[in-house]
Amino acid sequence: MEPRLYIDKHVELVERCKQGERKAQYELYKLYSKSMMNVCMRVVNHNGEAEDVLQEAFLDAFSNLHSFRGQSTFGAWLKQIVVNKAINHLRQRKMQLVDIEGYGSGDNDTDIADEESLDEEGIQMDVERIRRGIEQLPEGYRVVLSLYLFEGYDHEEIGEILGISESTSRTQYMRGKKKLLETIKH
Amino acid sequence: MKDKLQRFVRDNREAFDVHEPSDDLWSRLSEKLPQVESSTLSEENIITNITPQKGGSDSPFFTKAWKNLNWRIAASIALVMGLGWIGYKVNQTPSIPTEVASSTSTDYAKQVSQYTHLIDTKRAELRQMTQSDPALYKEFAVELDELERSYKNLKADLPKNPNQETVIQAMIQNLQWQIDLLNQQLDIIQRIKSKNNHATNNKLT
Repeated sequence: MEPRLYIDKHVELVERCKQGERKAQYELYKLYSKSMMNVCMRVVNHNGEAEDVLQEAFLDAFSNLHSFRGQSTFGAWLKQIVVNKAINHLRQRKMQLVDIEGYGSGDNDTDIADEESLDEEGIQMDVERIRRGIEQLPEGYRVVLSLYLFEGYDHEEIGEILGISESTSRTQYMRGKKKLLETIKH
Repeated sequence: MKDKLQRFVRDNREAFDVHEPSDDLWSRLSEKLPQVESSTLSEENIITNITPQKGGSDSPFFTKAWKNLNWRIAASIALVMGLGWIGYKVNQTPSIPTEVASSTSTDYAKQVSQYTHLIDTKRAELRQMTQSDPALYKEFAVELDELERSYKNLKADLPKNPNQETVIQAMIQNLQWQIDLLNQQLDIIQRIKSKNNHATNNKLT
């Protein structure tokens, strides 16, 4: 039974959603809502707002499903929508997410030097502490770190999403990571 | 430069997903979805409208069971028809003997599942072996993703394509390429590893 399901499952599910079939939409929702909720939470950092963003993203995805041509997985396509919605939400909440945290480039060099001096290998990693540590980071750091570490975007892509340069994203990541590791250490 | 944090997050990715959307989010969401006059949906509506009139405490269960059953029947009819159609198509092609043709679609499915399973295992292996070298993994992944993308394209085309047989064959060919590529990549890593080991061994002695 399973092999046949493999061939058909996602194509079929998405196709049925395109027809507007509620049951198929619910199945897709079931499959992706949890992971997408966590994507939202990491960016927005607020439960109620994350749910709003999630809801909006799913509505958007379902009504624009015809533009999904299967060039990527449905999950990747959906995540793109979720991330964009979440970032837009942040923008609305705070007019300039980028400037506030001092995204300015320039002192890249000293920053990378700092990074090297931090003894990353000696720090005990722990899921819960890292999760909480990221939650407590300033918004700019949190967003870059989340997109880079969790959603698998590279700095070029993050730059595009946030409207900053690639090197700024890189610097933000370095700084954010340093700050995070410091909180974990203590 | 290796990034311990990056590796740690990647290896424990699932554990970080601690949040759940609230239970009523779907109902709030579905209210805003545009209503459609799909046949399955209206059937469902009719059933839910009828059942309460029957009364009895078991009616909600009945509704649910019937809906499930209904759903399954529809799915299996679709499946049988789809397979039948493929079988019919295959039978039409004179070059393929009949006994082979009848088993073709299941054979394809079996092949696909075997290959995808193999690919998953090999990918996991690759990920594990390149743990110390994320840059290398990324490079490898780019190549793999490209093949995977074209696989997805083929898969998406499958339902629309009148010549499903050819598409399925192309899909299987693609999976074989993915396996070849993975084998080559694993081979390269293996060689790098043994070289490094050699080097350290030499240093030690």
